[in-house]
Amino acid sequence: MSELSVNTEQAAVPFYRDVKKIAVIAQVVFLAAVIAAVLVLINNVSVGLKKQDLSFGFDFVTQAAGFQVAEGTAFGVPYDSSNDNIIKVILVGLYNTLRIAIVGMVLATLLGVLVGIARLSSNWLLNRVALVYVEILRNTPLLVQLVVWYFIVILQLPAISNVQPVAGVYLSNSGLAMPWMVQKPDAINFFPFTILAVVIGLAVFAFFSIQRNKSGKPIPAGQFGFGAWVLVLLLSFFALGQPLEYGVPIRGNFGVNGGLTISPEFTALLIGLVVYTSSFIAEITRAGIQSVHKGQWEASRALGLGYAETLQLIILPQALRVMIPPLGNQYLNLTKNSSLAVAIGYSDVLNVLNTTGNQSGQNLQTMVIAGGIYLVLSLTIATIVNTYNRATKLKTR
Amino acid sequence: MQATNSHPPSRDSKWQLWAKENLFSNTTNSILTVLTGLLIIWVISSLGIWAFTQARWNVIPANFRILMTGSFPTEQLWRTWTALIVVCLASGLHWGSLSRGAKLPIWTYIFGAVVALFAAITQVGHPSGILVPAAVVAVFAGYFIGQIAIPSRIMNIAWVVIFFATVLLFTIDFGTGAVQTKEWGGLLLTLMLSIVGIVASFPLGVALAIGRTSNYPIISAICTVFIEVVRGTPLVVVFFIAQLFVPLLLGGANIDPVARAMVGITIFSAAYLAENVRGGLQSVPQGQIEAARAVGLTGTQTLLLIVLPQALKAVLPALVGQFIGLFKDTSLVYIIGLKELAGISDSIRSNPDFIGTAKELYFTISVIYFIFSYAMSSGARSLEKQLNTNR
Repeated sequence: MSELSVNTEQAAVPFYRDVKKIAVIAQVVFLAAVIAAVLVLINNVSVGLKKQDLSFGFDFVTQAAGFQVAEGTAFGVPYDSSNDNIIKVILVGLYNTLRIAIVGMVLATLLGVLVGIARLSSNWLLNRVALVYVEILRNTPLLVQLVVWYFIVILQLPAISNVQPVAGVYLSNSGLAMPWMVQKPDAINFFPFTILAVVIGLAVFAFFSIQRNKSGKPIPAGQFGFGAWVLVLLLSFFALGQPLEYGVPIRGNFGVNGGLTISPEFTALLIGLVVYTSSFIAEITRAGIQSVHKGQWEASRALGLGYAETLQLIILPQALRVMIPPLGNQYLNLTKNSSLAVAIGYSDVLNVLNTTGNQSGQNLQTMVIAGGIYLVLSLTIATIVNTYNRATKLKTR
Repeated sequence: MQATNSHPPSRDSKWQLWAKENLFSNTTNSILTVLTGLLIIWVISSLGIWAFTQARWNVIPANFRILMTGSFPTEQLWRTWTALIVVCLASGLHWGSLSRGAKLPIWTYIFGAVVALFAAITQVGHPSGILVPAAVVAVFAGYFIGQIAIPSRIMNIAWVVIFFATVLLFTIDFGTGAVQTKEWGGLLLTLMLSIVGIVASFPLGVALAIGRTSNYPIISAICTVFIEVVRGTPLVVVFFIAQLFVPLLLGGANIDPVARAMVGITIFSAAYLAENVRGGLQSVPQGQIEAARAVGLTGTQTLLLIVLPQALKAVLPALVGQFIGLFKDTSLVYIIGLKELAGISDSIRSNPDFIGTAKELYFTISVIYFIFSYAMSSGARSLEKQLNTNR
């Protein structure tokens, strides 16, 4: 083997053929180019700002906002347009955005899963209707749908004075009014207890599921946890002298009082977002259910479970694993799509910031703030979904 | 083994059997069928009553030019007509060349005839009364010629030529005055925004995807940050920021709003495209790259000739889905005050002559959006079949 010995006096590799050197050179050049481009653009912006006599600072946020917001509070603290500053009005907008996003996610998931199941129904008529529903909603823009819901559906409803309530619910061109648990003045004390109830419920659930896994006995940990949650809620509710009371909307001379009233803008935006997103969730559900092996259906039916039980206990839990990542994407989209509120005048965070920008002349900064807020929201939702996904993922070794 | 049918021979007809199996197999199913049937009857009858007795459809023909082209100068409309006929012919040719030997489904003839007749009847004595039917004829003529004479490969090149020719057609002053982009509107603006968005975001998105999957940590980090920041921001905010910042980034230059919107939608779409393409790049087996390097291809050649074609083919359905999304998302420029389909409908319904015609207008533009989106997704399905080499 001696004749095959390695020639140690190799010709030196030129630097443009040396992979390690190329890596360093390429990255340095790329970084330099990016930095140079950013510097040029920053310079351009400052020149442009000077030309238009504008400044780029964020001090204005402590100035008084000076405009009314149609609905919402700064997370429970009422907003007063004559005293409060811009930070507070942004908080009101953020509260409204979160409100529509969270309610929207829950309702869109329920409706979407139902339509997805209908898409797979053995009933021909039902699955065709579900198909048409999905295709129409997916192939037309959300903006047009929102405008239709607001200007053509909600605002064309009869006035509140001409509406007959159905089970205490009024649906009119001034929105939705329905019976609801209304807060008494000291209701704020109840809030920490609702959190405590959730914590205790989760703790009980965790305790019993560990017991179940240890002993192997079929302990209903979920029911115990739920029961603990309800128990703590009820106990603290009565201990605090019933901080919430059942309120029914009553028609007065100026609209309705009592119960829960929802503005027409919120109603239209909610319906629009829920219906649009549900069509995407329906397709995700369908794909998820179809990804579960047919043998699972057959085995479950052979064991004597009915259709609904099979779906609920066998199929959906397995389908959920496949569905979580795309479902998370839809939640992200729904949150970002709630910014279309501008088109129908719901006071979400973008709408409030847009008004602030127009009033104070600081449009550049308010839009940068808007971008930042949505970025934080998106990253938060993505993190929650990813954590949940990791927790429920099939563990393989 | 043939499964033997244990039922006695049925006297039901084929239809009755089908209905029994698919609609009335058990009690729950029967109830569902009846309820769904009632829902369908209610929707169709109320839609029908509205469409035939209450709707004021005259708003559509009266504003047809505005809906299609916005405030495009009338004496310059020949530019859009030329583009329309050429694109219709090319689409027909491409469609024909893709479905060689196939018969045209009957609904396409019906659809074409309805469109042509509708235009001819409602637009008597107007150029569109002749030119719309001509465009329909161009599609069908293209289809039949394409089936016989044109290989689909040529069409890919033809589209590139048509794209640049159209850009020139809309921007050059032929001695009769130029058209400014701020005069674009209606469907024309919707299509222009979509096409420019798709074409311009493609190379940018692919480059970002390659950058993100690169082994060089700095390049990968910069691309990742760019993609995630853009994806975390709603398109409306991107449009607002583009309106405000694009002129400033060029040092206070005077850029018209349509061009700013194009910049916004391109950047937004590129970030999403990058994520789709990244999925494709990661799906290409490592063995392909090793084999390419083993036969002596350089890194760049491996990427362009081996990895990218496979990656793009793998994510084609996702890309089409994204382009449909982009087409629909162009409606958001309404919020920044441009007059594309949604914006122009808003203007028309606030015209005192056409107050209360919102239903008719939004119904019509929804149908337009639907037709384009649906055509894109069915086009994608046939392209997928053509590209599928695993048959």
